[in-house]
Amino acid sequence: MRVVVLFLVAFLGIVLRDTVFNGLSVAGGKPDFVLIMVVYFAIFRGSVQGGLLGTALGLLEDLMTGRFIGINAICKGLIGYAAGYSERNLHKNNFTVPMAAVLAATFGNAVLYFMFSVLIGGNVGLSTMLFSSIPDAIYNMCFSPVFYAVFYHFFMVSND
Amino acid sequence: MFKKTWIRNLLAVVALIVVFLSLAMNTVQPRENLTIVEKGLRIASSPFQYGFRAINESVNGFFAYFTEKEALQQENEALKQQLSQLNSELVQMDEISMENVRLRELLNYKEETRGQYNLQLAGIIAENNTNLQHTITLDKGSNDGVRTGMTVMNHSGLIGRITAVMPDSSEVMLLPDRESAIGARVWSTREVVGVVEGDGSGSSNLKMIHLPHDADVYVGDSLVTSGLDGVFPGGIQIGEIISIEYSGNGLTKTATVKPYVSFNRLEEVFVLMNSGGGTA
Repeated sequence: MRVVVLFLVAFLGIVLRDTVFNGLSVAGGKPDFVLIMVVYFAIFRGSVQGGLLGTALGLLEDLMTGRFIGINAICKGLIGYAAGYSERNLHKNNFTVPMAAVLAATFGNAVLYFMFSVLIGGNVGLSTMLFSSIPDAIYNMCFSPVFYAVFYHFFMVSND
Repeated sequence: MFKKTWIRNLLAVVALIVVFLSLAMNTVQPRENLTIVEKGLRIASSPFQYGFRAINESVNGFFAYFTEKEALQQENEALKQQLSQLNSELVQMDEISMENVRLRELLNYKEETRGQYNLQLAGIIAENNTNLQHTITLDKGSNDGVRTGMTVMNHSGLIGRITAVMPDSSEVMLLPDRESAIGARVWSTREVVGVVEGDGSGSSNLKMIHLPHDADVYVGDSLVTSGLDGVFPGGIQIGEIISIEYSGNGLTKTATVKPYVSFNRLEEVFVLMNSGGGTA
């Protein structure tokens, strides 16, 4: 059930990003709700589930809006897998560390996207990619407390 | 055990990367058709896109109020300045238009009186209208042939005479001045003659004095210069009688005359060059 909800939220998040947040983009930056969800899901559920959800939601993103099907699936899957390693080590009551994780994930996602784009023959500059991800990262950090509060409620409070 | 899990995870990751990478490579080239899943997802998302777009437009409109406010204020200021400039230009155009009408009237008058009068057009550069004196200064002086005593008039009628001449300007004593006196006659009968002078009240009205009590003078009669005073040529329009009063002893009467010339709206005048010119 939670997975269905996550997919619906991701679905709406993708539509929102390409509609409402087009008009609210700051310096070309827009929030990546899927990335935030993958990172926080992984933080609470570990590498494997984080990686799987990242792959699934990334694929959803590719299918809905992507040109190269699979790139977001790989990137989000790897981000989820990596973020899941902090499951045991992260002090989950502290909200600042998850925000920093989203910040790092945004840049990590940009680097991965660049790498795999180059592999399939894409023409994207790393510096451009990183530079353009700065406003994305700021946007993501702004939204991350809300998402983290929701995930914290679902995976910590509800399980008590 | 842990190592086995790690290797298994690693292999799974690599396998997924290989699968999705090959999928991505297959979709690098432009495709003619989307897959059924892509189509389904995009069809499902379109109602949300329409809905969110409406929200987006509302949000944009809300923020545009703040972002465009400054620009609108600047535009407003610029438009105000433009309006002010245009108003100024409009006033100038009106001035030119009115000047054009006046000059045309003067030109027509000059054409009509060609042969009778030698008229020199002059502009007014100063006015001195007080209770004590009514004078104007013209932009023509002795260098232009103007002499003291010359008659000043326009198409409406008599204005006054030159009382002082400088090289490039001259002073005119207007009819309403208390020192002004003109020999006049009633235009219709050409019989009654008298003296028209400024009434000294500060108004532009004149008075025709020392009229015999039985003189044929009526309200509405027009007065012209008689030419008998040796200063003004005869036949120049002066004004119209608007009231008549008998003096205390009943032997004479005085007529109040409204001049044809509007002395408070003088702009350009004629100097009658072939009239009683004296010294320069």
